[in-house]
Amino acid sequence: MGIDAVVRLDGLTVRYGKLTAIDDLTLDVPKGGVFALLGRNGSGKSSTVRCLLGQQRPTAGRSEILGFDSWRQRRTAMERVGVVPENPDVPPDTTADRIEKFMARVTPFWRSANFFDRLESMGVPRRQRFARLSKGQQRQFAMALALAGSPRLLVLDDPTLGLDAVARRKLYEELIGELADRGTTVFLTTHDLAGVEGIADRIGILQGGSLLVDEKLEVLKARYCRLTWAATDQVQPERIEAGLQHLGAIGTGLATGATEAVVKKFSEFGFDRFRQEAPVEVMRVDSLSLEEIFIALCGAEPGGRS
Amino acid sequence: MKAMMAVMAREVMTRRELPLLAVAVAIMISLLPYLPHIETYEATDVRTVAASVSALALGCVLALVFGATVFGSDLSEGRLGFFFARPVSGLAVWWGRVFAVMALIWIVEIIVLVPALYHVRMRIFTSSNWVEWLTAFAYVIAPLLLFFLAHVVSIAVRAGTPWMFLDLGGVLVVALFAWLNLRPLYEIGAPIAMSVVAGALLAGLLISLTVGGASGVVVGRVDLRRAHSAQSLAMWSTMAICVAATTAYGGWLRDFGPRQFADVDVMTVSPDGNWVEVVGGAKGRLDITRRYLLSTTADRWVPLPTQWHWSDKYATYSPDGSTAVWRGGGPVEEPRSLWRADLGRPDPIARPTNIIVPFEASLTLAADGSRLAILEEGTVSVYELAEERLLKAIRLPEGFERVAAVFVSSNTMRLFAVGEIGGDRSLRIAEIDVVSGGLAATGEIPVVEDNDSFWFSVDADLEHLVVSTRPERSLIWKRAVYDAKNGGFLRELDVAGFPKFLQDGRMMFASEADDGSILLTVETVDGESRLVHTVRAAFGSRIIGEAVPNRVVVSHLVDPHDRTQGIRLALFDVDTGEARNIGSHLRSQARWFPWQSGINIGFFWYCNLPAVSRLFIDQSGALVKWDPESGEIVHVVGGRQ
Repeated sequence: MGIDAVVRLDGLTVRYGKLTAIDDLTLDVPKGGVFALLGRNGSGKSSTVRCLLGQQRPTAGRSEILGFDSWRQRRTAMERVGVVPENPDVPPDTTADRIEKFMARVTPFWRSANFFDRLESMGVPRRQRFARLSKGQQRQFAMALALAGSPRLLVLDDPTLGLDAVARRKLYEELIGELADRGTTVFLTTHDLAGVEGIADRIGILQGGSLLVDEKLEVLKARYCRLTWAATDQVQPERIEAGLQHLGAIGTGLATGATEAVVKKFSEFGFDRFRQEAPVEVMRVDSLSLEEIFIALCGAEPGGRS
Repeated sequence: MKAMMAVMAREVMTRRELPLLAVAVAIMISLLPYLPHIETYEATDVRTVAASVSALALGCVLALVFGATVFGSDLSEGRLGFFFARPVSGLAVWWGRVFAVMALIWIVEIIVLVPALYHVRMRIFTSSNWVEWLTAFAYVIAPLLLFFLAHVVSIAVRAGTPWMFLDLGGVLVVALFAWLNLRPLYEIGAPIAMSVVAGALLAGLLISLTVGGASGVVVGRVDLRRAHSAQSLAMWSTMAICVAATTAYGGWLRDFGPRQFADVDVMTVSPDGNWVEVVGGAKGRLDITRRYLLSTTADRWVPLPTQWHWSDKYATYSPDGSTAVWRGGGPVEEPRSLWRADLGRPDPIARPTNIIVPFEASLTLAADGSRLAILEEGTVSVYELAEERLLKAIRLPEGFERVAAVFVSSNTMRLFAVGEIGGDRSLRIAEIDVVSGGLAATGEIPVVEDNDSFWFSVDADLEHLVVSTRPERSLIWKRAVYDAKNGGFLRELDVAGFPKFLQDGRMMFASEADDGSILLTVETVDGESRLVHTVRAAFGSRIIGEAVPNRVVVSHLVDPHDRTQGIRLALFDVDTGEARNIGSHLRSQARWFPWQSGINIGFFWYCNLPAVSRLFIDQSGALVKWDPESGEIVHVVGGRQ
């Protein structure tokens, strides 16, 4: 593990009976920035987060947060971790005033002012029971709880679930604006690929419990491209196929008067080899959005259990 | 601790309305006596009963509700993750919530109890009555137990994993072991041991539920299914240890032999004095006692059923001391198998027979133990004991109600019966030919009137019978001697004291003289020879029995002013009037009524059994015997070290 790794998963495996939810997952998340763990429903994201937070014991392997074993040293590890769960789990009968007293007792780095300032800025009433807050307010409440202790790691499990577009954007802006400055590492799972594309530094994609991708977003986007060339009978299909192999094609299709291919190893060198092998008229080389990359990678295969 | 206190405070705050509810209940209870129809009762009683019942009921209901929901609901709705996403240990979550809920329940109970406590002036807190403390303890323990029980059941039901099979199996196994542990103690009649073992099982249950519940939360954390598996594993592992320990302890409590006896009670003595039926307890075994037939001459014993009921009969011996029979174990008031032991064998063993003995029956053995008579409900059944075969069953005629029977030979039994025919109450004498089954009335003594007190004395050879009667509202006993076979009147007796037949057939009477000494009169049945002795006596002196022919043992308090010094024994020669000391500092004679034994023909009969007069309990609680040959007091069994 690198010295600056805030999260480390080492051979993490989770099984539910005969079903393998996470299969030998190894992952380092360096300090700072936003790491987004993506995957289809049932790909193993939630199990990964539960293991990471020490809420579930892995069948094999281990997970660490800030150098502490998540399962054995959960209490110590969680002192500098903020968590926003997929479904807000704040006791429904509690109010901000009451939960503040509890948090102040159990969280060493708790700052009540941070908590109340945030609630106030978001317009969340202090004396209203959690269950009576709107879904968006509940999210803000959970976020305020997670951030009030100035965490070194913020774990967000699908934090935009149920939020409208405005609220989602606000949340993401906040993450970039506040946390980047503080040096807080964000570990994020989400289905909101468009939203996360603007804030994530690093991307991990889970498929069937295995990690398909773990790299910086900019690198990922640089190597995934869509090539479009004019349809022709002049070049033998075998040559085109051989040329595409140099670029790591993962799918081809027909467009109007043209042929498309999504490649995962785009490089200048590979592109030159492709053109040598298949002398076609390349009309466009397009970058892919994260969502397109995700669909290209995960669209065909069913997921596992989350 | 800080985190636990924080969790606890949060849980208390969440349910802070509960004490207010309790206050409302307490106020209603205080006002109860003013309601119509109830105002006729004593106000204090109404409040006390209502408060006591309401407090316990409310405590139990709250415990069940909270037990089923405090963790179960949060786990199944995924809200326990809130705590596990904070730097709070699983134990802090568990104990914080448990303590909070239990504290609230106990506070509610106390508040509801206030009307009762106020009116009894808080008497409970200064009470020395253990029942009151036990009741108070129930208010603490019952909700706690129900809380944990409801919690583990709630987790098991909500999770619905295959671990449920372990839970169900565990319940059955624990119930079985509880039954196996408690039943023998119930049958023995050891309420203290039963309470201790039941308490240990209850404590084990409480510990197991606590450990299981805590493990479910600490190990399972936010995963309901894993919480269930962790809970089941921990709970049943702990329960297995507790049940095993309790079973081992219960077994140890029950498993001890006569060598470990501390205190000994002698129930019966064989006519030759070589065997005694003893009941004893051992150090550390609480109130558990064991019964044995124990040799007084060798280190041998035969275990008797530990099951015991106050109405059970003791062992019965043949007059030659070669055979003992007794009823085996079984349900009280149900017929049971007859057991026997051949005491003449070098190493006698107890063995069951095919003979079934009704509950109310009494047993009589022939002189050599070859035949057994069972008396019950107007029937005498005679068996060949060796072959376990019914020889004859004889129906008794009218007027034979309270029957005593004895073998005068192998083929003949003599019956003595008190009964009424047409308003005529008499002591009837009859003989049975056990081969033919014929019954012949041989005599009748019409001396027993309604409401009389009566005692009978018979000599060892069944030749003479003394009937002592005292009419109702009279202080004067009338005594007369009769022929024990045909009931023929021989003569009135004019000597004070109950007559006891000596081994040579003479009668002995003991009475207190004016100066406190014992006046001992010995005379022949025909009254022609009479000896009168004065036995120097003090307060507490008594005639014990004829230990050897014509010599009776007399016991005196070592110090008449201090009974703890025990008794000393003197052997008094009824012919010469000489006395000599044979032992000192003994606690008591081993068996009261030493004259009522031997030919055992019923409670109202005095029979001379010399062997009983030689057995004593020493100051350590041990059974000792006076050995006529050596003249020494010899230890037989038991005694505190």
